Amino acid sequence: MKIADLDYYATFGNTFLHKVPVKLKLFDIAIILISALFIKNIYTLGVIYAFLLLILMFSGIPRLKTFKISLYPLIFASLFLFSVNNLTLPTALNLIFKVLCISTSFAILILTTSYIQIFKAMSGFLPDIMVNILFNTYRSLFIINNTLDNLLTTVRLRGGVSIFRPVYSLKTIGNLVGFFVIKSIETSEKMYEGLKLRGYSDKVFCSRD
Amino acid sequence: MSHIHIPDGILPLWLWVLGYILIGIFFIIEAFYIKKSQKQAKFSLISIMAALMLLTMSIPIPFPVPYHINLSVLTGIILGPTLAFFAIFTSNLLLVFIAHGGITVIGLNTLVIGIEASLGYYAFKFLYKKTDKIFFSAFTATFFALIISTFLTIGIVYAGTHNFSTFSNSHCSNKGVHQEKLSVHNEKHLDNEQIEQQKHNKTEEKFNIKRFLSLMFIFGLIGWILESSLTGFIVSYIKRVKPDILHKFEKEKDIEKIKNENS
Repeated sequence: MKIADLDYYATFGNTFLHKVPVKLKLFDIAIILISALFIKNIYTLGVIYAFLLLILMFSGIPRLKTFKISLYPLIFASLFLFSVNNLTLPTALNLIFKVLCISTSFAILILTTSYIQIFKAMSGFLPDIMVNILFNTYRSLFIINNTLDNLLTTVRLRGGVSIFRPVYSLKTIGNLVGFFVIKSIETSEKMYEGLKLRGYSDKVFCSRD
Repeated sequence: MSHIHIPDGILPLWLWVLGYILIGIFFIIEAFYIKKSQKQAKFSLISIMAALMLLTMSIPIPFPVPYHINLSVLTGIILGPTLAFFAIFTSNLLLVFIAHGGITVIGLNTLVIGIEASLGYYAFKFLYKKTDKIFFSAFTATFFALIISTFLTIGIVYAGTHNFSTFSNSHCSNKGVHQEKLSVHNEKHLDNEQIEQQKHNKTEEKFNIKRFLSLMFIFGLIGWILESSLTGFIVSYIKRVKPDILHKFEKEKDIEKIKNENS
């Protein structure tokens, strides 16, 4: 799922989870994270995961999409599990539950809370410089995303890339990304000029709730 | 990007906290330097590069194994060896927020990928000055940086997992049986005790660094070639279309040329 889609669900969604204060959601995430990190009992971890799945089922957010997103870190977990000698089922389940608890909680958070609100909550403990970069990155994502979509459409219309022509395909992607980099750098210059004209003083103030 | 592809909950607390502390110290020093040298105008470029890293991950690469490019070395080349760390941290943080996993390893990930970007920058600078071949320089610099960062990743994972038995309650499938036998033989048969100990060791859960290394290298090698070739093509394209972006390297190269001519 693209960041733009995630942002759409987070901003325009209207479930009970959308109405929960951001700080409370972040606090819950922190509790789940600490529990997943330090609990070694698979049954307790299983109960936490089942609880998260229940929230997902009845929250009204797109269930299948959220579930799919939450499975992604399992790819990395499997890489690790393949490297363990004499792996037992409890250990494997322990790790899988830990991974799934954390990823599911983050997936639920991101589908019910807009990035702006998360960054605003994080601005309490992150330095100004990082908050600044986070807000600007978030803004940039949407500005340059359209350029990338158009470029990908153009490449597809002109024959696209194929596994049977690896060098040609890599060169095409290289040129595409090269063009994308140049366009993005130009955009960043314009963005900065625009911000300066509107009184930007290298600090971001969040007032939107 | 050689992420530390290790989910949360595996690496010990001291290791990932150390990662956060190191990256925190680095950011404090760098933030002070940015304020002092009035480099705030670079914020938008850092942000754009972080956004670029995230968006280019969605570009489909024609290869059977799902692989994504990440442009960490390119970020290093464009932003420089220190500012690249900010873009890398931002992209790592946003990746966590799309359930990519690894909130605990953000610090370590940023360190590893930041070092990759810095090494790539210096290697590219050196090679381009010496050879004047843009594709070769970018390809070799990226390949070299990726190899080093993969070794760094393996080192970190090994440091955190060589004592894997602390991870789980059930380290050994036959632990109880072995311990019972061990205690029976303990008094009379020292040799048998050693045999039982060996049996116990054989069934003990252990992180196999060699297997992990081979898995990393099998997938890594393909990734290194793809990433290096793409960085080579991207930098060549930028050099052809908008050489201003690489002007700092051009300047260095010209100085080197003049030096050579004079000598």
